Amino acid sequence: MPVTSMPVTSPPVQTGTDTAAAVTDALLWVDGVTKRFGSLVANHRVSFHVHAGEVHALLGENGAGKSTLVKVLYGVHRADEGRVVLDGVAAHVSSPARARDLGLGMVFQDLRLVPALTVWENIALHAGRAGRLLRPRRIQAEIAEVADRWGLAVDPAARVADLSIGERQRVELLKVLMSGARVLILDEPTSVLTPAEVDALFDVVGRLRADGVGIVIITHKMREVRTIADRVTVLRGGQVVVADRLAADISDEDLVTAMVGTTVEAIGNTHAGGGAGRPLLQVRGLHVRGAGEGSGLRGIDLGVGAGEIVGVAGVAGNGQRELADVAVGAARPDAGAVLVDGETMPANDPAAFRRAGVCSVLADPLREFVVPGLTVAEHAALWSSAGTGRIHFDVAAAAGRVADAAAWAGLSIAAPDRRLDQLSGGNIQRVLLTLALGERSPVLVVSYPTRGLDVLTAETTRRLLLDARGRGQAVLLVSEDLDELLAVSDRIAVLAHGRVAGIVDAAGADRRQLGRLMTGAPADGAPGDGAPDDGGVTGRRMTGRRVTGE
Amino acid sequence: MNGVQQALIGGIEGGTAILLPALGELVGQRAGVVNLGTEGCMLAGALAAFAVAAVTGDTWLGVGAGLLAGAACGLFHAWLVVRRRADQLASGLVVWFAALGITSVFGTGYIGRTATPLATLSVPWLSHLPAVGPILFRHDALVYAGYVLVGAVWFVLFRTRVGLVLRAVGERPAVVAAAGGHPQLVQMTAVIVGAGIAGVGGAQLSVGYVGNWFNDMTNGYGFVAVAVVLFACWRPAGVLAGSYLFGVALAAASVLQAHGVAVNQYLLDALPYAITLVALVVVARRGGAKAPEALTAALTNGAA
Repeated sequence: MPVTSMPVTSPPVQTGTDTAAAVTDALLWVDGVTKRFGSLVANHRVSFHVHAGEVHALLGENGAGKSTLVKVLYGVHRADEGRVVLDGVAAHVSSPARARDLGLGMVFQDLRLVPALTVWENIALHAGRAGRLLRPRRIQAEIAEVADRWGLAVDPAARVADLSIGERQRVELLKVLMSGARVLILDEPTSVLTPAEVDALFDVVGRLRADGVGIVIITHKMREVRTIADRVTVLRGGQVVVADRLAADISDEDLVTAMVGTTVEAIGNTHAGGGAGRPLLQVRGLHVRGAGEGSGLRGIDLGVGAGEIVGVAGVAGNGQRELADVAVGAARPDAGAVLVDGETMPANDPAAFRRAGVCSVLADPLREFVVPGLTVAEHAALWSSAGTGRIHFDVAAAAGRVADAAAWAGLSIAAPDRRLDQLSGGNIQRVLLTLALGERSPVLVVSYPTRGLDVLTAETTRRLLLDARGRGQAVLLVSEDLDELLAVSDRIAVLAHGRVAGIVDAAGADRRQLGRLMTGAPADGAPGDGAPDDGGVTGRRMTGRRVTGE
Repeated sequence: MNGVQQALIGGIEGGTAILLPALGELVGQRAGVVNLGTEGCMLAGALAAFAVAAVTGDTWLGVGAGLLAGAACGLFHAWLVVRRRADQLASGLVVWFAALGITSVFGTGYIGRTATPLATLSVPWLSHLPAVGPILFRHDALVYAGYVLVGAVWFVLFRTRVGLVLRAVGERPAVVAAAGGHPQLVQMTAVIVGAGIAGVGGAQLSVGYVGNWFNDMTNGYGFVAVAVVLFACWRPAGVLAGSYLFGVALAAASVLQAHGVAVNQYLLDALPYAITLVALVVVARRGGAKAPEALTAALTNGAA
């Protein structure tokens, strides 16, 4: 990432404390931390302060150095320069265990729990307070007490595997709190939560703040800074570009500019509104038995017309995955059918779907797209000959094609001779997007297209989807990012428990309405009058509920 | 003494030679390492126990040697699998083949010799209970060790921190590492301890109640033990039931033979294995427990 000159902001002026005072008061002071990996400087002289009873947002794009910084703080990495000062004393955080001893608690994005064990066993495993013998009753009583105090309702005897993601996060929080953390670091805590769960989490964070805990929230979401943060520090390219600013003191525009470096023109709600063309992709009465913890599909009817983007929202595991798989022929439904341009497709025959013009951006590129050892060009060759029945892989031609497609799409991708498995998630995603969108197939099934991408590329990707719609392609867009769905979809189908909980017009929808549908609660208010939304909180307009989309 | 009682007594005796290695295997698998070399650990334990007992005349010294020989095989397996990241199944088979070959070479000289088996100890009072007394409480000490070990393994696994850490390692080693633990050390220890117990199981065969040695005398017991652990859904109680079921079926087959039941002998020999597997499969279906995650990952090459 090019390191441009960073506008260093003035010290906080409205805090009533000068810099020296802030140093002595701060619960946690990160002082000039530099971390290098070979020639790559992940963090360059990063400093910020966290006070007791304060929520400090660490804002930055993917690759800004947030994760590295947190790992340095938590003793996973050693800083090359700089120090971490806790309560005015320089702390040598040599390992995560040491960090915990010092009162630093960390809730990772990928929750560090053992699913097969119970809640109390997971907490005992971490706390190290159980002595040699485990006393299940005593530990469970302690957990119940702490849980009650912070409003973290959870059954100590439940198996973690049986809990929802939100509940697991509560267990993780309990685990950290019970080890006596005074500084709590939350790494992208809301990425897997429903809006209601986010509210519950922030409620807990509020209580902790009131109790004098210092809280660091790592995030790339402006919304969270606005909702919960007292202070904000922005990282870009491994350096601090906004330091210790009061959140109330800085505008959204300034934060985004600080994060991205240039001004991003967010896509407005540009819904076609003119109505979709003939249905290109239809699913009828789909039933798929859920794998693992997912709900599967329990009777889904949905249609996507030419020149239309239909978004699919829902909490992970409510059938999105199965829907996307069946819609590209990658899985066989137990009942129901997929129609492409009116033709019923043979089940579980991806090649036939490709021939019929269905292209997909896969949900899990690492598993479904990346072949270890093969280069970008070889992946392109694999991709373009998949389903066409050609014997010869023309690698050189594929390299040319992928470069052309990337140029056309405006996505910068890695050199064709690079091994794909050695690229970062964002780079892999760009290659996948280039191949999938470059095909300009009549039907696109797109899962989590902007996952792992920086803000600029994510915007480019959304633009590409809108362009695809403009060309008359039918797009089924599965995403966990509600803002993204609202920004580009024409209609949004919300899945809950494997059923369509509701289909709403994106133009009149908002997060709360979607969030309510995501929990499986029926939408209140009368469905389907087709009138524009009046902006009320309840009774939002529904164009259809559990009905065929077309 | 009727045939049924004979079969049950023999079943407890022989079942102990499954129970001990199965408990050892349970410990290892709960930590995420399968040891197909259990058969080899038993062979090594059986020969070492017999050789030491025959030479020194001290059977208990022999049992100790069996434990060490089993643990040595376990150390080899653990080093290959945990430190060198070898394939668990391949490494286990290597341990088995190596032990089979080595015990055949060094054991040939001991074929036909005898050693004093462990004394039969009658538990005071309990052994005089009607019906169950003679079946459960007139055996060699290793049988009682089996009883105690079932409870001990359960207690350690489910009621101590060590056991909790061990189970967590078998599921998500990364979590334990993040909590400041040492997953590799836990796995090595579990495998070595488990293999040591399997070695004692081998000793039960050679010096527990008979006092002789012949090549490949474990006759697949080690593999049955591995199967018992799988179908017992990694639970000590299930391991107990499965092991004794196998033992009883085995003893019943010989009782039938002794009574001159006219069934093909090879069919009769195969019967205990078949009965045990069928019973365990039926039970496992109902239990529906999941294998430790790290174990599954290691066996499907999906390990991170």
